[in-house]
Amino acid sequence: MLSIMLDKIEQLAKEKAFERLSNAEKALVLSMMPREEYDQIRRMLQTAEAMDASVVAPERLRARVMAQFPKSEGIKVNLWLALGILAMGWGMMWVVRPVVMQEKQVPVIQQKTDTVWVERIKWHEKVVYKTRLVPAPAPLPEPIALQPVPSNIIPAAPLYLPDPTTQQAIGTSLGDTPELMSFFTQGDQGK
Amino acid sequence: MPLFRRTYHSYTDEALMQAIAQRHERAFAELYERYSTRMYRFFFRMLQRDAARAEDLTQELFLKIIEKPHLFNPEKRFKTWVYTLATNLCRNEFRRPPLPEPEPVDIWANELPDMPEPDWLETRLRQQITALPDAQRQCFVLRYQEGLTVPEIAEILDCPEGTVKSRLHHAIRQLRTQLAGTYF
Repeated sequence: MLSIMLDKIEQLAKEKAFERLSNAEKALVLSMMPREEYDQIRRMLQTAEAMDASVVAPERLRARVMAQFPKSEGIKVNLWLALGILAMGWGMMWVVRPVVMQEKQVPVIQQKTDTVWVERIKWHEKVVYKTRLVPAPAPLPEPIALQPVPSNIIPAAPLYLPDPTTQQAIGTSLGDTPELMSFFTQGDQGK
Repeated sequence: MPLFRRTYHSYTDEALMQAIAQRHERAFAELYERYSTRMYRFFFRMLQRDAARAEDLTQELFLKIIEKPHLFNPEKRFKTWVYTLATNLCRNEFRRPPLPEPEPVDIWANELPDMPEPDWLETRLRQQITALPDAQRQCFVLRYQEGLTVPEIAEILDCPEGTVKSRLHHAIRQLRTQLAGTYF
């Protein structure tokens, strides 16, 4: 409590003269110290505050400290220089700009090829049944009953009996009798 | 070419420190303008008006700011941080062997003036402030000469506010006692 009151009094002494204190503040001060002591503290604090007020940092110190600041590693772009370079570049574009020729428009025929789809025919094997009309053969004549032949005699059976319906004479060539030709050649068809 | 240059006058100290961390030289120049004389005067007062040592410590302080700006916490006040750095530099300086005492001023050699002249009072007060213990002198200088508040001093010195108030009270009482009996 005492330290709080002393702290308050020191704060008052720093800010106000005794005459400017309120009645409550005067009562607080006088309860702790006589007025002379308050005035002495105030004068001492004012003197301490104003002490060395004219002291300033020497100018050479600034130069020394600023010299220690690291320079920026990035490239410093001078704005005016950059603007000048841009203006110069723009001007150069006007000077060396290419001459624009009047071009004649020629229609161009373009050939376009569309996609062609080829339909391929798929062939299937087809079985064709053919019919042929063949004339029915004439009925064979009744066999002639022959005399029993002794077993030791080989009868001279005729290998070919001429068709009695045909008027073929004995000794006719095979070319003139296709039926006979087919008889001789039918054995080759089975091979 | 001041037309397109960014002006840092409206920046807070904390914003300037962020710019300094990004190597903005002009931000540092602005910070130097704000604090150079203040810190130089603080060292001057703390080091018994030794201008050369005050200059060296001021340079060392700003070199620390240049080299280690990342140590500053932007959420805290720069003013408190820079005074903490300065106080630590003073502590290191106190640990060094003391310089030879200056020639004492014999204020009683001549006849006392009828009224205490401001210069006389200032000289006498300065001697008494120098004679204070380091802890009390730090508190007194920070509070009544640098104009910091008690919470700020407590943060700078890393001690409770009650300790700061106690040191201030003892310093004032000692100074007043030493100055009493004269024309003070």
